[in-house]
Amino acid sequence: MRRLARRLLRLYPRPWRDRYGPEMSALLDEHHVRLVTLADLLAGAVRARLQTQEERRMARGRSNGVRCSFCGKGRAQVARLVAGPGVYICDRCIALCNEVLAESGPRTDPPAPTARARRLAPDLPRLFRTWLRHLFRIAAPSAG
Amino acid sequence: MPRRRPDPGRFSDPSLLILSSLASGPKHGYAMILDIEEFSGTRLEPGTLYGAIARLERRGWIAPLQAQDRRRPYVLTAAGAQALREQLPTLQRIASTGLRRLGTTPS
Repeated sequence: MRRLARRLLRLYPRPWRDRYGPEMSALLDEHHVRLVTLADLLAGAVRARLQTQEERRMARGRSNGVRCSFCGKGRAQVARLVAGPGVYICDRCIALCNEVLAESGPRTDPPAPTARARRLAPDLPRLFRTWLRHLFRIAAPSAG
Repeated sequence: MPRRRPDPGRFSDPSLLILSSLASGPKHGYAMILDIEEFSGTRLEPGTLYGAIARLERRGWIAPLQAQDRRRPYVLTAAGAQALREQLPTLQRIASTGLRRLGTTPS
């Protein structure tokens, strides 16, 4: 039972084990280990993991803040970031959109990406480019 | 140390139990478990105890001392003592209200 309890300590996240592992294992040497002890350790490990995850998420949120939903660039990497309902778009992506709209005119077929569009967003994944094109195909008739 | 049957039910928050235990001086994990069982009848399990210790440490209400042979004592900080001082009167009010109402409830 005690050995099983000590083994459950390995389920805790790494930083936790580095900090509390030795003293928890010392405590288990003296503690009257029962079935409830094992269940409690398991629950503790789950809580510790959730907590670690939450901290990581918060740290990410603090350092990067919001980012452009289209190209993924953070606030620090763009001149302007415009907020929409649950999404953000940066000035460069807006410029790109304007350009594609201007070039596509009233056509309803998807326009081929221009050289400038490719230069502005060289890191756009292909899937996203396809999606953008779909978006413009829908938007073009009303915009033109 | 009295060996108790499974707790009749835990009403107490482990954080409060730990703060109350450390109010009488620094203690390591096992000493806290023994002390808390002695004064409250609640036997904390290591997973619950260390979950609460980590939370209290993050809040700065307790602080770790130098470990002695793997066992690390914790000490109540000034902020922790202040938090305990603020929470206890509330608990006392709840307890006395409950007791009073039990005594005066028409059956």
